[in-house]
Amino acid sequence: MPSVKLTGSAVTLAAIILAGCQYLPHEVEVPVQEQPLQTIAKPAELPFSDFPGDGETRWSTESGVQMSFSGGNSPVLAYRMPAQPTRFNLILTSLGTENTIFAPSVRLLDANHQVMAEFSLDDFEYLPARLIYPDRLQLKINDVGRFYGHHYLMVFSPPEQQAGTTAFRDPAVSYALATNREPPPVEDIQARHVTQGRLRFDLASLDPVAPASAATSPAHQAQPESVAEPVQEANSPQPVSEQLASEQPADQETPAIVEKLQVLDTIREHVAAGRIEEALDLSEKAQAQGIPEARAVFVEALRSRP
Amino acid sequence: MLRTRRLATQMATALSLTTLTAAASAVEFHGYARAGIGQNVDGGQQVCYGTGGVAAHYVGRLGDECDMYAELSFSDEVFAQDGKSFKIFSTIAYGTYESGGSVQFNSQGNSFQAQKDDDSDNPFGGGRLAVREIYATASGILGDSTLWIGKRFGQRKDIHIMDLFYIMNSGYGAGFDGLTVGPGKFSFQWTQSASDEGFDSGLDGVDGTNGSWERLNKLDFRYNLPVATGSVDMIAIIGQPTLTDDQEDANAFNKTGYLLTLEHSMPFMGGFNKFAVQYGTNSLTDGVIGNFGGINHAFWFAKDFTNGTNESASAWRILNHGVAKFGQKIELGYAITYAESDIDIDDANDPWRDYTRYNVVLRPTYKWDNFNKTLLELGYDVNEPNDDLGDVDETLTKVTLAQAVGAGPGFFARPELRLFVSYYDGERANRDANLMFGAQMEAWW
Repeated sequence: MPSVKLTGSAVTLAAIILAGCQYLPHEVEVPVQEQPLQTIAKPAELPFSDFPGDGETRWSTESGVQMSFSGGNSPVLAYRMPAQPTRFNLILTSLGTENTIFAPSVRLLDANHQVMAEFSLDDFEYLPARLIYPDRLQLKINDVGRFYGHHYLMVFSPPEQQAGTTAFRDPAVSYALATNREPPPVEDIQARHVTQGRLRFDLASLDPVAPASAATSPAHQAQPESVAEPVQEANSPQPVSEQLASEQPADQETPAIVEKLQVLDTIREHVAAGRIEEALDLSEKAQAQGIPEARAVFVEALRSRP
Repeated sequence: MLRTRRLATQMATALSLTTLTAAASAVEFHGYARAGIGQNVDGGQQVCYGTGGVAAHYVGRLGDECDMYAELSFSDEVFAQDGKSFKIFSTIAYGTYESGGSVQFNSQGNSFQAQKDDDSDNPFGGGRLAVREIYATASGILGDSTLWIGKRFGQRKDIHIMDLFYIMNSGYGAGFDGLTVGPGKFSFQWTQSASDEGFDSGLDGVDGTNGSWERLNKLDFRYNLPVATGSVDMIAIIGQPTLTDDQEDANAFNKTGYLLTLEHSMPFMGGFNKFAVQYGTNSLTDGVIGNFGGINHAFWFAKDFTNGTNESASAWRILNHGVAKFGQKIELGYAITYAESDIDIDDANDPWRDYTRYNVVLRPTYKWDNFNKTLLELGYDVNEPNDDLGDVDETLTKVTLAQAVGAGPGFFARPELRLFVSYYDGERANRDANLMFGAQMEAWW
């Protein structure tokens, strides 16, 4: 079984400034599986690897792992993410070469392989080359939330994204902008999308120390220096929406993105199934818990009923 | 369910973008730096025939930079809401002493070289420190323009391989950039420059160390017009001295100056090409015959110091520069300028009277791979002062060969670490200082 070596690195000062967050460096070996995948409809069949956490990996079609789309195949990296008892940001960066880049899409799955969130290439921000960094496509998922059980992350590139290009800013233009000169009229470099490249993952905890409520949560606290090491799974993780409906957190926190999505999806599911009272009750509780859009989602779901 | 998933995804995107907006307010750190080490093959320290200052590098800057210079820039978007954005920018610059002449010794002194501009002959001194920029911007207020007030570089126009800024109306001021007017973008700024001609303000009851400064108010109008081949920039800078009664009575310099620039920019052979024509008068003459177009109140160009009278000066220049690619491996940076001045002063010793200057610089670069390059820079410069000065040294030729490793293959990819050897020839080259070698880094970020 081939493997790629992932070298952990110190969190950049910029990341600390950005999020005021904690960085936990590490170094892990990530095995790359070789079993092909025939369909994206069965993520359970994906050969999940341990999530690399903070670090860089090289993407290669040599791994043989493919996702099937109607228009063709895509290589896929599938990671099993350990429980994260602290709220965190997840940053995925695709590092380009002079004129090529891997154009990723990302899916976040819960422990039951249900899609919690999906991010396409449109959600990635282009970052021009700067100092020692090449041109990049970067996705920042801010405040992903807490994972009381393991989750899954899939990175792939659908055929329509493989066929595209990304405009790279010419170094001459970057030079001018960085030094407050007038940029020359140089056309952007059209970097081809390719099916191999370099990916970098960065995790940043939003909690300098684990919150008090985490001590009573069913998950273990993250251990310093080993945030990406598998943490023992929680016992049958309770759906976040149910937690929200049944628990009153010790401190009023803004729900994380994933938590919000789960709540909003649950509202929709209740409405779709005709459980209007439950949907209304959950939407009211969600609003009280800091999800103001819950009401609108409830109303929208009602209007959208066939 | 698919629909709800899609909606959830859209909301996820919206939510993430919401938080991304907050994250985007992080401080940005940009900058520029150069430093290195050099040696005269004949012994003694490195000698350079251009400077990073007013003399620019008319035979090319590669292997001809004897100073350390750095700019550290920090900016932050401090507010963004309802389509309005407010940002703060600052740039701290520091460097070693520049002679300002056409030749200078290496000014990079010892490790603990202090930032003391008045101690340039001391290798433990001679450093300089300045706040080059401190300004705030507001966008979303006046159409699609960006308002600014403070001190800044402005929209400088430069020939990188010569370190020549043919437009550099930098300094304190206020204005706006990029207001859509008709098919193009209109920019305006009000800036000032100060010079000390030695005439006090004479204001009763007002004392101060700066009382003898004379201000030049500059109104800077720019219009960028897209055209089929690229774009055309039309720039008019009008400089009007503002004097106290006592300064007027003392015949301080009072003539209005103009700096007019017409520039055509276009993509060219995978790179770009810029062609510009400039015409400057009176105290805005210096930036046309030399460096830093539009920055100074250079009254000395039109001042007859013998008679104490204010005369007229003018200069014009054409220039063409750019970068072109020849296949995947070779890039060429190039620049050519030609300038003439006409100073209406009957002084045989005035070098700027009927002055002609022209030069060409070529920097072909061969990219061995994504990180390694070989650079060759060829420079030829001719100065022709007025005939009354007699036989003067006029020409300078430079050949620099450098091997570099850089963060990418592009012509402007930096940082770049170079080993170089430079050979100088011509009437201005010193026979005991015509072969230099050294190492230098140049970085921007």
